[in-house]
Amino acid sequence: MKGLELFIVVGYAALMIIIGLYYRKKAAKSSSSFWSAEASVPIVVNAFCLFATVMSGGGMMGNIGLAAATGIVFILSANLGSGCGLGMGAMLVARPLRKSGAKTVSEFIQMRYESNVIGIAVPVVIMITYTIYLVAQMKAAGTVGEYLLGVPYTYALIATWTVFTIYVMTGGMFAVTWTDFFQGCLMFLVTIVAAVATLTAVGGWSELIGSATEIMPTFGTLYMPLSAYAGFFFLWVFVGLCSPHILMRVGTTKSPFAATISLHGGMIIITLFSILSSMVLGAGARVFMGVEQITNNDAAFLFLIDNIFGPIWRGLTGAAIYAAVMSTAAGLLLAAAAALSNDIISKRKPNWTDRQHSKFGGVACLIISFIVLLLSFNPPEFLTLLYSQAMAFMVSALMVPMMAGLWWKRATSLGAILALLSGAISYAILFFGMDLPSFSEIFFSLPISIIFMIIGSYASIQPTDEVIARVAGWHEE
Amino acid sequence: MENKHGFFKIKRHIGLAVIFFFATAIFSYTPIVVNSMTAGVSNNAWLLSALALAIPIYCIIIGYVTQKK
Repeated sequence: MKGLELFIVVGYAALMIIIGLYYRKKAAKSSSSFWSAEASVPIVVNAFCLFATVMSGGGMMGNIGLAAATGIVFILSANLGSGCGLGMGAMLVARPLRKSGAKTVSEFIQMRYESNVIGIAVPVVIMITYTIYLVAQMKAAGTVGEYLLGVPYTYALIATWTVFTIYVMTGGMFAVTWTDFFQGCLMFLVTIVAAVATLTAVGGWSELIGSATEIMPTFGTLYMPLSAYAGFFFLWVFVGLCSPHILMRVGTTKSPFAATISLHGGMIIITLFSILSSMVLGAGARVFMGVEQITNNDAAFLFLIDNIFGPIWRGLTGAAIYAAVMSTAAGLLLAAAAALSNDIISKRKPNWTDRQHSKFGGVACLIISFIVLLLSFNPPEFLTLLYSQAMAFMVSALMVPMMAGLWWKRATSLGAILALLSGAISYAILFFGMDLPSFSEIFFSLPISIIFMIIGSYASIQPTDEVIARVAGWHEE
Repeated sequence: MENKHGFFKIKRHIGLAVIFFFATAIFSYTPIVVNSMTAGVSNNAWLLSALALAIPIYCIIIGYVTQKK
């Protein structure tokens, strides 16, 4: 047990719970308060929240491990792609989504297509995907506890689970927003300091990349099939176009303009973070590891900071990794709970008051969180690859219905249902049944989904003038 | 609001930014970029990094200018 590091991490966790409890009453006022923080979040705060939400435990820790194990470019593709996804979301989705007034992606798709099948299928896809994503976050938390603090994996897991579940279920989007902001600032600060410390310890960029390349000659190159790199990049770009936990933040801003600017701000922060973490810290981890592999690649960052930091910064780094885990886990949990509560249960309980709906939001958080905890005790290897595949499944299912619903007047509910099913099924067949380069499956599943969207839409009656006029209104100034 | 292809109209500066983004991103995966290196790292990584900084800065500037009008 490492005393000072543990003290810093525990202090940080206590602060997160205090923030959650502080917003308890405000969040319970209405479903809009619980899911959207009353659309009151400032631009800069939202930009840091987006950064914290997108850059998960995988982003903070697993990505550096992947950079050390596979070279800079593969993981940098994903990191830059996730930043660019926010930019694409800002340009193509944020304004109409914000103007529609929908609190969640499922609600938006349901409003556009007015179909009960879509109303069930979309939240189910979200819940499956986000459960897997959450398990990856929990594994990161357990690994940090084990390596950095000397706490057994299971204890670290349960402690982390308790903290973020409490603040999400009590404080809703208010708590998630302000904890995310704090967490985003901490993650950015620690990454900058770690990058400076790494460069100082090794003697500058030339020495760093030179040493890493000496140990691993392919370190700065693209040596796998190009489709794997491009797939990893474009996957995360497309995530920004349809990912509920990212797009939920659009509804928390004061205006459509604020939503787009904060998404672009998040993109800048993520890009700077990606360059520092994948290039500098990834190379640093490789250099300090030398030619020998450590048994758990996801812990390479912890191996690096053991070499460059004393106990105080090690503690802050531990807190930053927990911040990365909890900020993403909180966003995912809220989005998954919204899928269950706002998009499935609430539709079947029209007699409930708005306050009852918001209270059930807290219960939905607890239900999903508990399932995640049970699945997290024995998780698989490689965090980043695990949740990236889950996101690829979700993108294959949701991106075409979402984008066609926003931009194509002829898109119908039949087209959307066929696009969703064909995208999801084709991705599953390609992933489990064929030996394709990692992440290149979306280059097949998305075109298949588009084809079925077109066939289904032209095979059914076109949307009414009322529906088209409503969507047109979302695009107007 | 309508155009002949049945899509909702996109603002000109946003449309240009989206096209520029995808064109540059795809170009960054061509052999000429992938196989050339600067400071020990493939130019693919440098080009994508520059793109990921340029696009939001352009959009923020255009956004504020449009808002002021």
